[in-house]
Amino acid sequence: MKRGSLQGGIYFRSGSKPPPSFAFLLLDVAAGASPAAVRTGLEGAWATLKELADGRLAELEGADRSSSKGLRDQFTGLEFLFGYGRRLLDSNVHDPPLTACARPTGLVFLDHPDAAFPSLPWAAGSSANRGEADVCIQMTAGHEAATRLAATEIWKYLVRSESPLSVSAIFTGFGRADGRGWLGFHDGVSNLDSSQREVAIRAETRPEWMIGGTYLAFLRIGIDLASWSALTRSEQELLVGRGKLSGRPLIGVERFESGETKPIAAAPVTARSTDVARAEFHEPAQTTDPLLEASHIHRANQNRGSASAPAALRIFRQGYDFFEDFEKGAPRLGLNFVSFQADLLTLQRILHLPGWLGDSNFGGPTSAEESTSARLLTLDAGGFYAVPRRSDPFPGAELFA
Amino acid sequence: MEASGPFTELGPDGLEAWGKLMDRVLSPGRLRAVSEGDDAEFATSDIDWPATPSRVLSCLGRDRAHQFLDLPVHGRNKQEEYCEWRTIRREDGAVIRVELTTELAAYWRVLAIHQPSRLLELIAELAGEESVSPGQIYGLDDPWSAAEDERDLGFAENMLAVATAGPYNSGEKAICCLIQETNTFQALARLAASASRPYLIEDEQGRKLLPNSPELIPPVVAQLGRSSDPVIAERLSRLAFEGRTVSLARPVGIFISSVARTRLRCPDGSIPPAEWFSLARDAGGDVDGRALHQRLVIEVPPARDYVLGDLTDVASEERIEHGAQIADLVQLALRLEVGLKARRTRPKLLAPRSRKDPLDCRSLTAAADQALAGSP
Repeated sequence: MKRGSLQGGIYFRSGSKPPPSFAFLLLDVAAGASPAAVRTGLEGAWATLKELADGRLAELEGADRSSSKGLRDQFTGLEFLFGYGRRLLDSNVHDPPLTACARPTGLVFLDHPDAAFPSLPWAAGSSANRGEADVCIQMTAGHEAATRLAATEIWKYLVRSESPLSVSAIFTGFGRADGRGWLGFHDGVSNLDSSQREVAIRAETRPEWMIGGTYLAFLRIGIDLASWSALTRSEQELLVGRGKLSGRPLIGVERFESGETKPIAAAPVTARSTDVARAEFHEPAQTTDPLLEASHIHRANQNRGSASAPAALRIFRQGYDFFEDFEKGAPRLGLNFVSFQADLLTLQRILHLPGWLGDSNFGGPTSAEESTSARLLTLDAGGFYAVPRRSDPFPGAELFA
Repeated sequence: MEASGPFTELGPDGLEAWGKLMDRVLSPGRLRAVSEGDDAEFATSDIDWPATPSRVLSCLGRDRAHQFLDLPVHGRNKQEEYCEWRTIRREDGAVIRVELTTELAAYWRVLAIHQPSRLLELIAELAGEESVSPGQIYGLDDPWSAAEDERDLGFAENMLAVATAGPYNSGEKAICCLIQETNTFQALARLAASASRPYLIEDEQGRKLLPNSPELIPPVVAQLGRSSDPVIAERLSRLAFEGRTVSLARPVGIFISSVARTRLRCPDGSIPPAEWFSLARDAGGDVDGRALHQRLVIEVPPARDYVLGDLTDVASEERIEHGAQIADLVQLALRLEVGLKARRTRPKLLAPRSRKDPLDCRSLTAAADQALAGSP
């Protein structure tokens, strides 16, 4: 079970990189549906995705050769995974219950409308959390058309088969070729070394149906780009903990009599740099300046420990940016924060503990007067999902036995 | 040494004895405690970890681990993260109060030897009693007249062995200090000294990686799967690799660095106020404005129509039924003084090695099976 038990679309292996298109499709089960009907619906949805990944689309069977080749090219690299949300295991929602399987400890609803995490408030006007659902399907591919078409094909299948499953929401996103995010900084630089990711990701504890699987946290985080853009580059770098252009970790802060501060970055990594210098680029050395210790990269990785040390609170992040619209003259945009971890309590600790990200919205000192990141991020939607190991006819089928 | 907070209670002789003890324990290793007058440039830095015994949870599963850890002797003996607690329940079993301590037994021993009156007063205070009998603490009716080693032995026998600890440290009437067999100053010092060596890991592909692999720490000084040992070992070995001067900050101890209060919800959905979390026994470091608390008591004020056991942890959606759930909210810290300047080191190259049953689950499971079978 160990090797290769994780579902597709988790790009944790050395050299693998998430493709640029992301869709997160959420499905809900109608009240009173039988487990058997849900199982049939999910089996069909899984089969639909497998056909698409093979470049086949039922209604276009028999099309000319060039059209078929185009279809195959379009879906090359389509990866997908199934996850199950807290809602599916809620007997208040599903009575009688859809499954007799036990709920994993950390699989919980996010608090709403109260803040789910102390320093990450819900976006103004979010009347409901659209990120919670019975089932999530994460789809990633090289082309936007592939993830959008796949989502639509699933919808078609569910309607056609009169399944009790229906689409409740979809969130989409993209990755940039330059590896940067909306803040202008490189994203994911501090992620775990590939050799340690599987340990951080793979669930090893009960319930039995989740052993060999993983847990996915999805947080659709809006970014106040106007506030961010109003900061100087130095201020931004001190909040992040890295140089904006180079991505190099900061190792010190120069302070001037005027009260201004100037970040000092580590030496550059070059082609001649050692393995260790490269590793230190990702996982910077101990800083002794309180301003740097309060920066995002240090708050999120206080102890610089390995995935084998439970207290290091290591998770594997795989985020995608999003852009929705211009609203009142400003863009509505942000990050689809997606993380995979062996235990959702790890993420809860990171986001609740003072000193980590429990007392800072993004980074920087705790005191409100000092913190320039007080309201940089807000939560638009979010949910936690249990992502079972690979199995036939689809992952998690045993839930509906 | 600089004395403040509880350390002043040791008195001059006690302070001197405590200082000598630290020097003796730390001297064989590469760590020491920073003394006044050290002229090197240091900054404080904490290694932190959750108080919940993660190895016990991994081996036994969450529900069994929670039940087991609340058992007086066998459970207490697996509260192995430098934090121990007692859970006080109502007659119907509902949790009404949890008391946690990180105070080192070595410190309490020095207090017992040098300040018997203060010791008895403190124990009475922690137990919520007017006074306690010296006989129950020292096994002596008149500890004041006894020789120092008699006081030491009497206190150790009556208060510091998990199997035989009297009611004032067994959790029955109070909890005063750490008594789990590996939660000692000596064990901490051994681990720290063993980890403070510069090395690099060479993986199967010949890549040289940063020294963050707890498997490299000898099993005799570190237990894999714990919250504390691996992270302490990794962090110190990383600092050693960076060529930093590292010392344990004074006052030496394990401190409660934070409590994730925002994970709890009252029956009305509100977050319990900070006043319900009484932090105490501040060791008085007051470095960077941060207190160094060694004790936490959490309970709902009697005026409310609910108790601690009616609160829910939003991270698990579970009601508080065991002390370990409170420990899960508590973050502990070991405070270091880290030299500002790094210097070049010549790290030793090591290869990761795997161990059989690295978490030692087999013996833990056997102990839990036996203890839970005999519990009500």
